[in-house]
Amino acid sequence: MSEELKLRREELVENPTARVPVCLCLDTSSSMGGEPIEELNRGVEVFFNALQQDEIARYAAEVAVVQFGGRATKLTDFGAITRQEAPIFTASGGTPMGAGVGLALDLLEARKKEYSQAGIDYYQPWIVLMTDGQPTDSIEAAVQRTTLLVEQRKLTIFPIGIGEGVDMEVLARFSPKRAPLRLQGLNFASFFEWLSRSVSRVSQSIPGTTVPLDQEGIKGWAEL
Amino acid sequence: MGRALSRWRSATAVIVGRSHERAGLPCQDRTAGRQSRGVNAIALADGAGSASCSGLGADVAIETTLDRLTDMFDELVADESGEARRRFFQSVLSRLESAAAAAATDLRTLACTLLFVAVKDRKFIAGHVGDGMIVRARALGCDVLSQPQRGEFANETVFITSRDAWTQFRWYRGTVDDITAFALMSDGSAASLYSRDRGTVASAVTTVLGWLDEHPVSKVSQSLVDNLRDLLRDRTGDDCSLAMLRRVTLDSEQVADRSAAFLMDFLDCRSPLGLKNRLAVLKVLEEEGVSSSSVSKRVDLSERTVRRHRQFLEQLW
Repeated sequence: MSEELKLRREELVENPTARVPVCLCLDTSSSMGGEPIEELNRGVEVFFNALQQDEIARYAAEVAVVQFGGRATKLTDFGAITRQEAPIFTASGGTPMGAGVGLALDLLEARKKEYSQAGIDYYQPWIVLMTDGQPTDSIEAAVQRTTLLVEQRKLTIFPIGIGEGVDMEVLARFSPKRAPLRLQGLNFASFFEWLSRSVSRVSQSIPGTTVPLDQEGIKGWAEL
Repeated sequence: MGRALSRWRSATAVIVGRSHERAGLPCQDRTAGRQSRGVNAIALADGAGSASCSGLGADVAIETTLDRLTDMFDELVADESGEARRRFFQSVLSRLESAAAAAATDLRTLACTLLFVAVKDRKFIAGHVGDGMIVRARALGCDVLSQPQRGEFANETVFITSRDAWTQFRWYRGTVDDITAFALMSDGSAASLYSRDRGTVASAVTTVLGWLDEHPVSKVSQSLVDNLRDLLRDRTGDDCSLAMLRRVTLDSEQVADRSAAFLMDFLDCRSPLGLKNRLAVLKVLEEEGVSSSSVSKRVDLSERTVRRHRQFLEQLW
């Protein structure tokens, strides 16, 4: 008599999927008005949709959105992406980049604490910083925070410049290890498609690895 | 009535993870058990995903660990100064270094975690570096002997080849008086076998440990592979591995209940005839103070054969 030894699913446990927290920190100052903000809206929608449809990323990705145009505000907080909609941006005001990045960092810290308290694993968080101009507030405090975190390998920051009027040197200050890239024209959609694939790769990554970015794919949206 | 027979049995299983298959990587988890010189041991190593030769590293780490546990058990269990433990660690590291040199590669490419438990007489020693967990079973159920070591992020841990591996190496020892089993699991398995927010071990672990009470080791190992593949694979992309070491104890009623396949495995018999003879000797020896020559007459076997069976059975009482 050969008995099959079988476990039942009910005898196993479910642990939450390790999260990939990504904060989009986006310039919505008045200079972004017109075509730029329309393309930005389209791109962010592409981003949310792509993640929601990705089999694995939909349980792992968590996206917060901060805009800095006039004031720095949180449009979307971290949470299950399957229950979120892409926010809609309108352009107005100056460029409080320092406040925007500061807010993004605060949201990330708060979310990491929540993960720790709930026993949820998470990957190294990302901030995507996009701007078309110069900051109109002080960025010193924010630069200090991001620089320290990057050097401690606790944060990855992607600074992206838009258009002719952007100050790439300012962007570079936020990211000691990764040089800022300039978006090809207003190719937000390509960028956000690449970003959603990158997030998906992290969420499927093998423990013990650092996830290499798709360098070839970057050529699809960045001026190199 | 009769005395109970008791021995430590081990079973192991490994399956390759979906992410590994997708990335064209071989399985990098390894696990093995060994029974030698009175020492029963299991070891498990999970090769680092990014390390190109981590499967080799895991193989070498496991083999060296089992060798050293066999020949250094007494020293390790009595070690107060840490000197024996240090020698153990150095031995594993130098075998890894030799393997790296032979493969013309850097030691870091052999990075892996390492977990082990060894039992001899009434004592145990265990060691752990990296993620994965060591679980123990006691009367009230299973709990965690050793938690995973994690960095802040999901894919960070310590490896035996890491610079701080020695300072991060955790050691455990004690008696097995109230412990009936140990289990080692890699991170991939732990995702379905340990509830992080409740801090409890899944009932599945108790179930699979119980399989060793009634089925031969080879069947249990194969069943573990089948179950890991059917149930755990779609819950994690990672390789999954599991090693169990259980004290199987049977009184005479339970011996009578067990299948021939189980008993041949448990009593180390190579043939049905060998089993029949061993059981016949066992039955007579359940009476107190019977001499081998008396047994020999009653079961119609040579005294020499009876002594051989008796020697084996006495180790199990």
